Amino acid sequence: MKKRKLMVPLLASMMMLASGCSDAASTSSKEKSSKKDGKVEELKVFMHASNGYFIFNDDWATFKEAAEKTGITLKGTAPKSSTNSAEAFNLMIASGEIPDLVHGQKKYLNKYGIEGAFLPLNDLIKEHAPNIQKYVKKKEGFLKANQGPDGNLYMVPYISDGLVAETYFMRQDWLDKLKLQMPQTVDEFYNVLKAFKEQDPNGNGKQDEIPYFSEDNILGLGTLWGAFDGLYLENGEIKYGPYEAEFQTAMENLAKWYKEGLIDQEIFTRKKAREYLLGNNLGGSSRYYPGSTAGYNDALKDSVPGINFVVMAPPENTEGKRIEPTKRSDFGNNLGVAISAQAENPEKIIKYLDFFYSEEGRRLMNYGIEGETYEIKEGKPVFTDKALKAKDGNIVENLRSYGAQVPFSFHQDFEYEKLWMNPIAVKGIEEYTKGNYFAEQIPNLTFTEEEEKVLTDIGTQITTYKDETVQKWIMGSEPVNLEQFKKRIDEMGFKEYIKVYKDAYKRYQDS
Amino acid sequence: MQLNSPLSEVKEKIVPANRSVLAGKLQSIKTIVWRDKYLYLMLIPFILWYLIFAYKPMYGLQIAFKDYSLFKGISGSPWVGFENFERFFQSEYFIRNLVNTFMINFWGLIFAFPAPIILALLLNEVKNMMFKKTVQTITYLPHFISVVIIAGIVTNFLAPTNGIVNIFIEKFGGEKINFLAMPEFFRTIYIGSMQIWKDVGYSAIIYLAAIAGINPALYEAAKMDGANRWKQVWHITLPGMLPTIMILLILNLGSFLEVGYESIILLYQPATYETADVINTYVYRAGLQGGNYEVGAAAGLFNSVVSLILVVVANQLSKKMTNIGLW
Repeated sequence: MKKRKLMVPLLASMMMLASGCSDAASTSSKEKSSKKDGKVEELKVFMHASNGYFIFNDDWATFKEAAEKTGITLKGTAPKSSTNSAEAFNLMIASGEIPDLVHGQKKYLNKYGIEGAFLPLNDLIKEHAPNIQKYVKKKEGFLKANQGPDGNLYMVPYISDGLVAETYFMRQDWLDKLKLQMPQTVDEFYNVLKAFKEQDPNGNGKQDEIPYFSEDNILGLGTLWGAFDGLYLENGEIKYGPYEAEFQTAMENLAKWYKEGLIDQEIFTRKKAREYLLGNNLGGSSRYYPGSTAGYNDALKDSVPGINFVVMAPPENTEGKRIEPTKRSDFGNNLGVAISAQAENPEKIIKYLDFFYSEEGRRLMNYGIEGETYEIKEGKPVFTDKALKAKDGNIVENLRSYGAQVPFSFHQDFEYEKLWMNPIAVKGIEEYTKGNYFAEQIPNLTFTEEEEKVLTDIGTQITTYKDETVQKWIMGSEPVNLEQFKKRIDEMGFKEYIKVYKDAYKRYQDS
Repeated sequence: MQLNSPLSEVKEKIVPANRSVLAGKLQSIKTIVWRDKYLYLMLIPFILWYLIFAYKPMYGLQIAFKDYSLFKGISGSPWVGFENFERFFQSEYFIRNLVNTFMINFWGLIFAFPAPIILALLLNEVKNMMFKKTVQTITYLPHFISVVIIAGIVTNFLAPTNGIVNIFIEKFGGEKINFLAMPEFFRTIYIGSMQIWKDVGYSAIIYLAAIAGINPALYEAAKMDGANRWKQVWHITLPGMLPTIMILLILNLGSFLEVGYESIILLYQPATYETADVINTYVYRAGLQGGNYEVGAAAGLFNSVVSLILVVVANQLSKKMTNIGLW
């Protein structure tokens, strides 16, 4: 930490030098291009997301295509060598040289927007961006979820699509082998896991099966007893799962499952659980993202013959409800593009961003280049072989190399995922969507700086204590005692913590 | 040195002693500097390095007392007094994190600090050069392995279902132990893997160098006096290494509040927070590193003050007890 503290001003000054240099370079290239063709204007963009996974690339074909339609080309200024997006963003802010367009996280765009680094966009959108304005009017929560605490909108958001986040998974081939039915209730689920443990479904003569494993939080199972991990919404009220009575029951049961070996004994330490446990024919059931998880059926079809890892509907919980705690939210990525207060021509920039919200721009960002990555068949875009036959089988990655499906400001189209996903995942996603198993979700709330401090200071204490206690309960080193737990977090300032959320949620509803 | 002008002679009389001593000193400094001019020339880059990289950034320390905004800059951000320190200290877990930090460093000092010294002494006694070099290379290689990989190896070895350690324990009739989920094992695992196994060979190099610098005549004299190998180590090798050991010890104390939190994050988990959670990992989880530079700066300043006190005290003690010190 000490090192970083010393590094910041230093790096900031180095950035200034660097941006100074690139300044000179870009003006000269601007002159060049304007000489060649009077129409094209070059703007600078900062985009560095997912710790370097998305860094604006001047060669992205989609943005070249957009340049032809809009007359604006973008030049990326984010350092390609950096692998820390927050740091890269902070250096850009600290340098004082803010590029015309800045891609970043909502929290920071709003913070510096209020301080005057970025322009409020509400009026600009109203006057110059009819396509974005359509979303402002029609898309539920567009303003509420993205505007700053001062009520101004500082960014044009990236909107994701689709509803399903995680789903349950089950080895259908193991069920068939043991002549079991797909479990429909939590008790049946328990019996199936028990059978997986005791009746050797992988047929190697050893009791080495791991009935339930997960790469994610084990508490996703809590809804089987009506308990949630963390904050959730119930009948319009924000609640904290571990503070509710159901949590006691859920923990007692999970501790029992763990003790009986139904839950992976290494669930807290194992990395790459799917790869190892499915690859070695050991894992029976799980919860995770359907797209990638279903993909293991293809990847492992030679090494684990007969593997059939299918999406399972959430078993009915003790209250008779089927609940999936996770759900994808439209603005869940919290990413967007802001316009610098130093930009010379904000109208032009907002018109440029408007293009990506048009039908044409949306298709471009979802499917890439027509004739190259997709073609229109029967009025619908379909990926070409070139897009689908990616080198290492990763289609999304392949599309991203064209600059499609990068989280710039546009509305994602879920149909694109269906075009390449394993059919098991597509079927499961449809089932979850149709059954509407999702728990009510807390919308994207916006906090003031004071509130952020409370969330950091008190929230970290509570989370530390919760994580620690939950693991001890589940692993059985401490008996489940919710009353004591509640008392401790009350001492840490739980009331103040939950009040911040309740206030923010009230503001969200009122705005 | 001569003073020719009468005027200065008068002055000389008014301030007789001081002046001449001062002028004399100045003159002699000049001659010394001129004599060693190339050495000083070579020193310039390092002085510049310190000015630019160590002293100038101290200006930025003031953000520990400000509500710092990157956009407003250091001078434009408002002062908030000790608020950032309060935020840093007020957590229920501050004491626990502080104690954990101290304990990891304390046990590290007891076990990990002497390890390379012992290794160097042992290697020094080895007569077979081939064997010595092989051992040295093998022990020194892990230093170049990334902590991520070491953490992976440790996790695999200690895994409760199929880790090699637990397989052995089971073979000998014991109960399998989930080492990485038990707070009582964390420090042992951390110090054993990240500090001793990873760095023992690398750290031994400096001690081997110190041993190589001991005058062989001392050993010959000792042999004449009938000292055995053990006595030679005790009365010649160890005292010969002592300055190096003391200096490294004092430097070590200077980073007593620093723990390689990257390697802890790779090995700990909520179940072991009780002994594994240190100041830096907590601050990391609080997300204080992303943009909240003022709290980071406050924590850093706190670290630096404690380190400074420790180094000064250790240095004084060392000077009293062994006559060896940093300054």
